[in-house]
Parts: sequence; C-alpha cells; structure tokens
Amino acid sequence: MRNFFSLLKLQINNEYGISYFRYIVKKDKKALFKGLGIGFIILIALVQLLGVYSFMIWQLYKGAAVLNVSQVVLTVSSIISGVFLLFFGIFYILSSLFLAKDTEFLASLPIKQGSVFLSKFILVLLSEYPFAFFLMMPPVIIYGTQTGKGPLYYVLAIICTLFLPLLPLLFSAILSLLLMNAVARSKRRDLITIVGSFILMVIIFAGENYIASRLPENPQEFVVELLKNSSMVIDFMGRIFPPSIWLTKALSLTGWDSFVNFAYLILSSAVFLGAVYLLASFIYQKGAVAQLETLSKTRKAKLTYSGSSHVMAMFKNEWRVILRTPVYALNSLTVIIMAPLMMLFPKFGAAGDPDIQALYNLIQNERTQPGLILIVAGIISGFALINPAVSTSISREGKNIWVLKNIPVKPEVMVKGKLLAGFSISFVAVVLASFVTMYSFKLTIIQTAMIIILSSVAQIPVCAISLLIDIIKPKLTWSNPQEAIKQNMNGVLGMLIGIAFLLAIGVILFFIVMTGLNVYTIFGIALVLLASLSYTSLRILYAYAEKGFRKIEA
Amino acid sequence: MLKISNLSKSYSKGAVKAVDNISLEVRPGEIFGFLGPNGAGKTTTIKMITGILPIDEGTITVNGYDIEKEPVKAKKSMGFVPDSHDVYERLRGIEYLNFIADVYDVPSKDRKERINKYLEMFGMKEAASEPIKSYSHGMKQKIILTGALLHNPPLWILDEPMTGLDPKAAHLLKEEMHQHCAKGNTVFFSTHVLEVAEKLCDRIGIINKGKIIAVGTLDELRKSGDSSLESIFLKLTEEGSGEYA
Repeated sequence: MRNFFSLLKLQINNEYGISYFRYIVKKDKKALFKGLGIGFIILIALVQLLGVYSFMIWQLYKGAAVLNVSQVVLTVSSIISGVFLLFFGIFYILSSLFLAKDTEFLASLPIKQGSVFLSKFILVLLSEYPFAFFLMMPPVIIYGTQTGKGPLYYVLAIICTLFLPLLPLLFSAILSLLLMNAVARSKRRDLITIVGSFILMVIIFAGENYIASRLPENPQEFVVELLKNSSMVIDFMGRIFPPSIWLTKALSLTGWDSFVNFAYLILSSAVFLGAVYLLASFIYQKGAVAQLETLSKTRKAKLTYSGSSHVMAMFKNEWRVILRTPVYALNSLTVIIMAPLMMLFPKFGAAGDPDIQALYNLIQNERTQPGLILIVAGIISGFALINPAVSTSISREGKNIWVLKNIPVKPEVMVKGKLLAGFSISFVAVVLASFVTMYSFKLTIIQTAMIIILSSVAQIPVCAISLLIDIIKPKLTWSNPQEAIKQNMNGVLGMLIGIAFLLAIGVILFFIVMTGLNVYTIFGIALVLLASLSYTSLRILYAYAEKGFRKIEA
Repeated sequence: MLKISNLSKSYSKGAVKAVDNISLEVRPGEIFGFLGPNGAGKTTTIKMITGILPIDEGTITVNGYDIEKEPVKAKKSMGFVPDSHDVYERLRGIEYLNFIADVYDVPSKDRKERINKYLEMFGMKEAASEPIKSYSHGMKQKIILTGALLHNPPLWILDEPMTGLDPKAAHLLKEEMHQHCAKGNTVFFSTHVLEVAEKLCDRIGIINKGKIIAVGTLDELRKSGDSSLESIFLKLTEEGSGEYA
C-alpha cells in the first residue's frame, strides 16, 4: 500500500508539475508570470463559458420549477457530465494507462500491476474533476439556493460530484483493458490500437444516440413522469446513466430516501472499482507492456529513395508521425469520424422525431435562403475545430525539435508543411461532413459545394492562429506523447480562438444576410471575407515564423 | 571553416552564464576536439554553432556564412549529430533519411548511392526498412550519423559521436573523419573519451565553466610538462584558469 501511495504521489507531482512550479516560483519569475498570464486568459474564457452555462441552467430551472420538477437540473447536468466522461474517457484511459512513455519505468518497479493501474486511473480521475465540477456546481448552487437547502446538501453534492465520474471512467477502463489485451496478441499493434479505439468510440456514440432517440416525444410529459417517480421513466433514465438518478434523489429527497440513493452511488462505484481493479490485476500489464515491444522484421520492405519538395517533406513527416503514434492519431483524426457522425445523427438518431421532421421540411422549403448554407457551414466549421493537429504541431516535436532547428529550411517553409498537414485533416472532415449533410438534410450539390468551400476557407485563419500560438509558446518538455497533445493549453487556446472567430464571422454575416441579398452574393461576400482573413493570418504567421523559431530553445 | 567570436550565452535571465565570451577558429582540413567536464558549456556551444540555440552575444560563421544572418546557407555547410539519440521514432530509417535528403537538397541521382554507402558502412542496410523505435541506442546513433553525412557537408559537428557505437562502427567513423579532413574538410567534435581525442585530433580546445581555458595541438598543450591529455585535462579543469590559451 505504501508503494501505491508513493507512486501516486510521484505521478501527481509529475503530472501537475508541483515541484517545477515551486522551482519557478523561486527561480524563474518571468516563467511564473507568463504562466499566470496565460492561466488568467484561460480563466476569463472559462468564466464566460461558466456564465453562459449557468444562464442556461437557470432558464431550465425556471421552466422546471413551473412544473414543480426543479430537481431535473441536477439530472440533466449529471447526465451531460456522465455521457461526456464516458465518451472522452476512452481517450484518457487509453492514453494514460496504455500509451504513456513511463510504462517501461513502471513495469520495472517492484509494484503490483493492479497498483500501477489504480494510481494511473486515479490520475485520470483527478483530471476529470474540473470538468465534473464545472458542469455540476451551477445546478447544485441554483437548486440549493432556490430551495433553501442547508450545509449538508452542499457537502453531499460535493461528495456525489466526486463519485460521478467514477462509473463512466471505469466502464471506459474495462473496454480499454479488453481492447489492449487483444492488441497485445496482434502483430500490427499501433494500427489495431487506433482502429480499435475508433470502433469503440463509434459504438459508444451510436449507443448514446440510440438511447437518446428513444426519448419520449414530449419532454414536459417526461419530466412530469420523472417527478411522479414512474418506474418506467426511472428505468429509462437509468439506462442512459443510472448515477444521475441516484445523484438527483440523494440531493433532492430527504432522510432515508436520500441516504439510500447516496448509498447506491457510493456502493455501485466501489463495487465496480473493485471489479475493475481485480481485472486489471490480471491483464493490465500485458496490454501496457505490449506497447513497448516493437516487432522487428515485420516485413522486409524494399528501400525507396523518393524525393519531395521541402514543404511536402514536412507534410509527409507530419502525417507519418500522426498516423503511427496512437495518441496523436486518436486525438487528431477523431474529427474526421466525429464531424460526419454528428451531421448524420439527426437522420438516424431522431428520424421519427417531429421536430427533426419539421427541420427537414424547413430546409426543404427554405433551401434558397442564403442563411442556410452559412448556418450549416458554421456548424461544420465548428466540428472541424476539434483538431489539435495544428495547435500542437510544434509541441509534438518534443526532443526532436533539434532536427527542425538544425535543418537548412526556412521556418516559413516548415510552417507551410505543418499547416498543410493539420489543415488537410480538417479539410477531410469538412468534405465528409458536408456530403453527409447533403444526404442527411437533403441539400443540393451546389449548396454542398458552397458549404465545403466556406467551411474549408474558414479553417485557414483558425489553423494559422493555432499554429502561431504553438510557435510562440510550444510545450516541448514532455515525457509521453499524451502530454504534448492532451495536457497542452495551446490545444484549448486554439479551440477557444476558433470558436470566437466563428462567432465573430457569424455576427458579421448575420447582418449581411439581413440586407436581403441573394444566396450567391452572400456566398461571394462570405468567401471574400474569409479569404481576406486567411491571407492576412497567413502573412502574420509566415512573418512571425522566422522570429518565433529563433526564440525556441531546444 | 568555423569561426566563433566573443560568443556568450546565459540561462535563467543571465543568472547562469553557460558560455562566457569564447573565441575560436577551426581551420579547413582539421579535426578539432572540444573537451570539457560535464556542464562546462560544450553542448550549449555546439547548439549555438548549429543554430539550435539563439546567440546572446558574439558571432559564429560557418564556411563564411553567419549562422544568425544566413542560417540556411550555414546549416547546409554542416552535418550535425547531437549527443542525444532523439529522433522520429515512428518513422522507418529510410523515411528519416529521405526526409533529411529532401531538406538538404541531396540530388536524386546521388541520393541512393550516398544513403547506401553509409547504411552499408554502418551495417544498417537491413534495419533501414524497420521503424526507428525498434533500434538500439547505437543503431539510432548510426541512422542520425548517416543523415548528417548524406549531403557531404564540409563541416561535421559531432557531439559525443562515439557514444553507443560498437567498436567496429566507432573505428569506421574515425576512418571517415580522417578521410573527410584529408579532402580539406573539417570535423569539430566533443568527447569525454580523452584517448580518442588524443589519437584523433589535430587540435584540442578545453572549455570549463563557460570559458575556453586551453586551445592548441597536443604538443602545445604538453608544454606544461604533463605527458598525457588526461593529466593536462585534470590539471586545467581543476585549476579552472587558462594557462595555455
């Protein structure tokens, strides 16, 4: 047990850079203020998001309170939290437990594999808490203050939130353990890991959509049923995410009823954790260590000596590294699968939903409206933002940065190659999502072409700014690839800037649409606007590349 | 071939002076050994020569090109092997070499011949189609070495090049260094193995606490009466003062 706590302490220290933070507080004030400055900017962005989210929850609360079902705000937020944690949990678990670079070091220690698994699992759990608290605290506070709850309620709410991510993460852990055990038996391990993870993701996504599609047609009626404690509705909600019901009842009921539901949440988490720990004690190490073994002589390939231009050499290098590093592939290429899936969801997920049918009819009737292509292009562009390939492009070089610093290629040219590689991922996502939308929303080929053009051009400034951020402050010190991409603030900043950019463009185009111009004129104006911004952002990026690369210290 | 003038570099906002106003000239046809204890400033100097670290003060010219003002031309004039074995592990050996050949503009007609020459020399022909991840440390060193020599640069900058190499590969590399310099080219390399420096180098420079404390041929360094490079090195680095510069 002492071993386990020592390991956990070490990993927490390393993960959150506690010792390093102490060091920069004492020795490097410049780095400290830089870090605090960036943290402050992110905090402001998060506070804004929190404000928007709290407002939405408040609106939901007011609506639910009229129907006397105000506790539904707790249910809804815990379901959102659970579903997200389940979906993204598979990434975190795979990255941290199986694809991390410290596996070799940990395997050499005289510590039980179950303990290694548990310490890493706790590390993932800790990293999920900010997200869980972000989603849970606004409804907890709104519901608590409005219904006059006492201190015990808030203590209980904190404990429940601490337990909330456990079950989704444990479920992801089981899937990951089984997948990686199968991977350990195969020859093409990296490939199987990437493909297997994507398949798991699609299965989880499809499962969630299937359950969502079975939602009752009338949400108000559903909420009322929930209040009446109908076993049918409880059973239904339980199928989506049982802990949400236990949490809601533990916090909204009193006395014995509250205690029983609280106990359900705690005990089910504990039992599930015990079971996963037991499974991990037998099969974790085999799956983790398999990632270290590179099968030599996989095939006797003929050597080729093909030449490429500098930009293409950089481009090919980027793609090869992304495709062959499971953590990079999982994070960067998800957008290619997710964006089309998201656009396909309304077709299958809610085909019988009258609201979706109404939307189809609206699109059919309003297909000549210029706003339609702008809205769809905006949605697709938004999904395409979930691509950290550009915003972590320099960071991913890590210790290999010496190669880029030493080769006789102008930074501008290197940047072009990297930008092209990251953009190509977003471009593929945009094209696939646009064609799926054409099928899903019955759009014409002309509309689809316009959507592809606008969404693609919109990616250029976003990619350019994201890359610029990564040149200014790359995260080059990392011990496993996961840190370069998942624990890299540049990825988050890139997405936030992308969202802000799309919103700003959306507002401008909204006013232009209001002037009543026809669809082709609107398309032309939007294209010129986006192309001008693309050109400007590329000029800024190329101009800064030289100076930025010079400042990067390897 | 390589000229360093009044070069300085500090870390932690000037609190730690890693390289302190050093000047050095390495001539064509020379094998120059760069020695110093751990943390003396060898790798920092080499990283500035190769354009990896920005220079705080001073200048470096490679083959007549200033590394700060004409970095692309200066870098094309050198081949660099770092002391680490960090390289793109997910690429196959041949893919890494093709990438290096692309960015150094190795002509298509010469590429195959040069790649094969070094792969065969280091016994890496078979392994070149395998992922670099599967290589041992020595094999990674060999693939980086091959990449550094591909474009026939007039100046080789090698940071601890013998580390990880098996005796045969180390011997072949030493032979190559001799042949390279015999053609009027230059080798600048750092090492901790004093015997190698003693046997291989035309001139030696010793750096300690960021300052060059001695430069000269082995005979010039021996003027103090010490017979071996080891005793000269120990004496100089313990004193930390320049008697031979």
